Amino acid sequence: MCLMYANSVATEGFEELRRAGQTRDWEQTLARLAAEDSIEVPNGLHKLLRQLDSWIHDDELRQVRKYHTGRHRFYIVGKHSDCQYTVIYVKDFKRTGVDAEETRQFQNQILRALQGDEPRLIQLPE
Amino acid sequence: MVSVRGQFAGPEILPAKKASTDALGEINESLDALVSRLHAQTRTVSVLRFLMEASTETGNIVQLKPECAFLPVIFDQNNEATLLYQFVEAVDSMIDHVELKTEFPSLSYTQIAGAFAFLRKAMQFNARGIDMDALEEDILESNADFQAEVKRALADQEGLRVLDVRE
Repeated sequence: MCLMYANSVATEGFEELRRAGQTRDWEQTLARLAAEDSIEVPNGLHKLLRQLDSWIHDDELRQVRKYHTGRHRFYIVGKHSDCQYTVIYVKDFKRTGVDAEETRQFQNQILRALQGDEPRLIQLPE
Repeated sequence: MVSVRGQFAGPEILPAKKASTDALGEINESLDALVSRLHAQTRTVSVLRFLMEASTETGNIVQLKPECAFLPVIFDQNNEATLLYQFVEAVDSMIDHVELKTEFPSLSYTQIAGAFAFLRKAMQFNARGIDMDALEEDILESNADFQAEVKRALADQEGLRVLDVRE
């Protein structure tokens, strides 16, 4: 049963989620997932954490993995082999109301990326 | 004993033979690539057909539009698109996994979280093969200011506390 820690930045992030009216206890969510991991059997949070491709070449950031759940992203360091994780940062950029503008802007960026150029026809070789 | 014909004919024939073998190899590689692309396109078309049928059978509320690369979307009264995978994210945020676990006691919390992650990912289907998570990552996480913010958080060891699991 692995442990989940939170630093003060993450603690403030959890607080913000509560202040924004989030009823779900995200600290408990993360602690439960970590508890389903062990040193020998990584059957918990380990399976859900994603390495960030754009951070892989950064000496500091490459150790950070992301758990994307619901509208939130939790940035986490630690490994099941050490049987402990630390959530270092909470990102909730899609919170309804507070930053709805950002959400719409973000959606539009995605939709624009999807439109892009016309799909390319793959030609048969001569 | 080596024949005269063998001695003289050999050097002329061998390069030609090698060139034709190389050409055959290249054609084979191209054909393999073509077959694999065709398989990928066939799979995309099959999934798209399934999703379009699902859309029709459920009242066309969720739509798959060519201009959105067939990414499942819902249009509101202002004709603004809500991406279905972001709708799944919102549902995941609101549903208490502890309650779900009482409904499916044999599943672990990780499996419940994995089920939502799968639904979210499946709703990112699009005909252009764009990885929506990579796209989101590119928009947000490649931002230098955001990276600096995470680096500051990484250095923060203040108030480190363990999150206890309540039964």
